[in-house]
Amino acid sequence: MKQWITLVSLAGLAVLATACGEKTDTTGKTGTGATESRAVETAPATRNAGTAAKEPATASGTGTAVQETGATRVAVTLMTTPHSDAKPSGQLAANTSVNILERRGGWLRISAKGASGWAKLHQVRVGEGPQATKSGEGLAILKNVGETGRSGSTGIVATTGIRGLSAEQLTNAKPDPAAVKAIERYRVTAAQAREYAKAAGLKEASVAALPKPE
Amino acid sequence: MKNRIAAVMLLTAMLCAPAAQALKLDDLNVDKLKEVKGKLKTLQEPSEADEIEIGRGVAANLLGAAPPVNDPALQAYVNRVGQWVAMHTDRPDLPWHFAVLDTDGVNAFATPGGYVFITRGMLLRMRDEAELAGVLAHEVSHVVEKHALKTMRKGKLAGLAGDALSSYAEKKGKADLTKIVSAGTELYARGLDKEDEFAADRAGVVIATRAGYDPYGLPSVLQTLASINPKEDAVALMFKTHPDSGKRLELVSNSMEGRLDKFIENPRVKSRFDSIMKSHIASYKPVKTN
Repeated sequence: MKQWITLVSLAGLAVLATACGEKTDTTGKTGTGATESRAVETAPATRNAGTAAKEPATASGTGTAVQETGATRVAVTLMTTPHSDAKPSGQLAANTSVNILERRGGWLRISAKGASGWAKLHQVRVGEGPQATKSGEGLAILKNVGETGRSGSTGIVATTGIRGLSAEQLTNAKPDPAAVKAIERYRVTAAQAREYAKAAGLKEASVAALPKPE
Repeated sequence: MKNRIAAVMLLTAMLCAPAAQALKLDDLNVDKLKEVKGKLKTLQEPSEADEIEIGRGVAANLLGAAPPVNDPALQAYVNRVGQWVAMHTDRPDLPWHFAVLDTDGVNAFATPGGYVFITRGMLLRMRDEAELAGVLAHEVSHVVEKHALKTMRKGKLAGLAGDALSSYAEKKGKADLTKIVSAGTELYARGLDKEDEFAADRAGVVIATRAGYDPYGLPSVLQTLASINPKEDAVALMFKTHPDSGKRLELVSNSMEGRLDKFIENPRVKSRFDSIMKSHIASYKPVKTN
């Protein structure tokens, strides 16, 4: 009996330890986000800051696609092919503006300052894609590593003032059962989904689960 | 109930104190520990029917906060893609429902039982169907793995929802359901465990690849999210309730490294996505909310 109690209390302690740790973490994050975003409520002009950079590149894009631009997040060694063991084809410093020429798997073919080659997704900041631009509802995109939004080291980082769904709105929401009924009408059958997948040339495959990283 | 809160507070206080003091177990009130033990023992796994009922209630709350976009073609599209994705999981037969919420916020949610939501703000920031499928697959995996229910039973919300969950499983009381749904909604304002988010990223990639998409849809979305100014109000809730997007991208990319290369020529399905989005943007009228 006593052992049971000890066991249970230890399990409880472990759960609470996690709760404790996480609490500190979240509070820190929320604090920064909430206060600062209100402090830099902005003019619509800044909305264009994120998207304007993409526009001049449009003309040089192939076909009808809007060419994307971005910036290196870190110093990047460009590769001649999209492989980690490929030969290097150039070097770009952090915060270099780049044109994004092609996407392939976890790689982007980019060019800047006469150099071009392949970089990994996480080495480059990108725009939001063409739809956000077309809808005129683009958000501010970070161009520099310093613009983390966490400190004022590079001065004020402007935002667009576009409002999101807040935690308060969720917590205080009045249930809307009619809306649930409305969305339930959009449900599709397995056969409909299969047909739609086939139309896009999607082929099912057997894929093993990915391992948890060390 | 008061006693329990006291016990939890006592435990928490001890935990947050230095380790040496936290181990002074003989100071603990044995009666209170017995009570904790009793509670853990009675926690029951809800049945699938209960799970759907709970999820439907939480979905009503989420829809109360942000209405569905009034665009049947867009809603049907997201259901076709989502249903196909969900068919490549261990729970293909759940009554899966997908909906686009009319908010500029960038976010996605899934409630127990298979109600999956993506915001219009998030959809606008995507480039192709593979990205949409990747995000829906991440959400679908939260449902398949019952991450929300797990958090309600074991985590920070256990005091609020845990008892009600087991009581509901036994007696199907309406008061219990209300309590669970309210605690369940709270979960979307607080977020799941970080480890569950990382696990859903890995599972999401695998599910979307099984469904035939380019595996890099979800990582591309994470790259986009990692590029958005975190001071934007539109991403505030998403960033508060999820681990850092750059970190997520790095972790999932490391797990994928070399393992899914034979699928990178899989379709991204861009033209269908672009055409649906083009009609949507052209005809969009915001839903009036009070």
